[in-house]
Amino acid sequence: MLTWGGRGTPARTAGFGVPHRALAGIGLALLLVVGATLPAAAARRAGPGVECPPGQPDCNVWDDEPGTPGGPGGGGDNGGGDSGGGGGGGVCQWGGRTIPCYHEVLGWFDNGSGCYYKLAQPQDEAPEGQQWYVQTCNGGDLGAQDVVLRSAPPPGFGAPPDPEELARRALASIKLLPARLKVAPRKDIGPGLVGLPVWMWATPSASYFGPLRASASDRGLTVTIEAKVDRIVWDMGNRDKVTCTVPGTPYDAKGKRAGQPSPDCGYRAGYPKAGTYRVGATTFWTVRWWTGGGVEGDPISQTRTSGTVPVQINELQVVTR
Amino acid sequence: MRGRQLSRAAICLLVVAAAVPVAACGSGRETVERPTAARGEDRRAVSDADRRTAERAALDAYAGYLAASRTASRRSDPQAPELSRFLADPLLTRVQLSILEAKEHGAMRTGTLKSDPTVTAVSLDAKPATVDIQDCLDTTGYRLVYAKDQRVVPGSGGGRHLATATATRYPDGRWLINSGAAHQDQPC
Repeated sequence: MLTWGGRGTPARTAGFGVPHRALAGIGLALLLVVGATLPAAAARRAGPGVECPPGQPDCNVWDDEPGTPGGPGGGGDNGGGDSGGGGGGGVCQWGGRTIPCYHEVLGWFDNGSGCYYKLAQPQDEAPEGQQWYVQTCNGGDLGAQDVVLRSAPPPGFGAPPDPEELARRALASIKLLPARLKVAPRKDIGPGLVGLPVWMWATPSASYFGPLRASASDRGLTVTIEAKVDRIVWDMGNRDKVTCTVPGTPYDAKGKRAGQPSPDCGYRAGYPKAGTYRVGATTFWTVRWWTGGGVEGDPISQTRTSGTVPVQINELQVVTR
Repeated sequence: MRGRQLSRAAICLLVVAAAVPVAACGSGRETVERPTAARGEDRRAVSDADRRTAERAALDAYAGYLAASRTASRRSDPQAPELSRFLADPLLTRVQLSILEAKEHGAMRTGTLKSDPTVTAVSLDAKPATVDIQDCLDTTGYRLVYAKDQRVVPGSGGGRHLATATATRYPDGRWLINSGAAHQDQPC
């Protein structure tokens, strides 16, 4: 006979936060896991040693996969970093990460304890004024799951879906990219000259300019977001800044505008001094969001910083001899 | 005679402790002759009937759970109502989460599952009353596959392994499975 729990489950104890009928079958393995593996980003990870329910073999097979979207968004395309972060500043946080305030299986998150709570189903006998809750701690770590007695629900318990949280979740599911910068003159093609116009343009596709749409739903509430670039602020590398609300026009050295200022996004007067400059840009995305019922929320602003492009500017007389 | 009776009582106690129901316990002729002992043995006889009822209810709940888990997994529905007919928390939440995670990865469980459960312990005096179950689950024909192309999810695989579960009696009289584990590292 096996020795896993011959005398049945441990006696039940009452009181705040006391485990209810601790999982007899999991026993020591669970205790070891609770003590040993509590990674901050353990959301909904069973982790090694936490066994699957009977009839649900290989439930841990997903653990090695990368986490779900929700981390910082938008990998820098030009090697540029992000400022603003994707979906940052969320209401519910665990280990520095934004996590959903409500999980369809685990219930409502309480920032104070770092645990999700839901009413245990069915309710077993409980002392007057108390109820049994399933508590999943460490931001959703199955190794830290218990049934506990509470005399009151934790803060935020039972809250309806928060449209702004859904908007941020939808935002985390898309990538807001920094602009891909192009300039003329460009150092690796040839130098420019003092006082001559500089052209700037960015890749005009939807991935870089929008509009991008996404949506997220929770318990019957759907929020749709639309992200669009409203401006790119070019930093010319000499403290001059140029704001463009359009992607800009690519420079064509053989075109009819060659040698003239860009029609829509340029540094018209050109550089006043010779030198090598690093041109950078900050892309300002605005994310509008609204609910299925047509209620529109305050737009969310996000910025993305591009890597820089070198520009070399020579004195006019060097070329004219 | 008395010695035989005592040893027989001891055997009955042992049998009770080992959680194997034996219908013959307490039905010996001696008990009729000794009223004081008879009362105790009567109580035990009632308890044996209760025990058998509890075992049956627990095994029914366990079989119901496995069937509900299979149905809900095949439909990728963590909120399938049949789950809560046979399961209680915290295992209910664990099963729902397992189904949800598979669903989020575009996967489902499909096929058949062979089960051969036995009762290993009955604790009717505990509050709440519990019955422990042990099973040798054969998941050879039960696979975790991607829903779109039925491809087996890498890293998953069937086999025969030990599973344990506890059924608990709730205030409304229902026996529900509220904890359990598949010990995939323990073949059987």
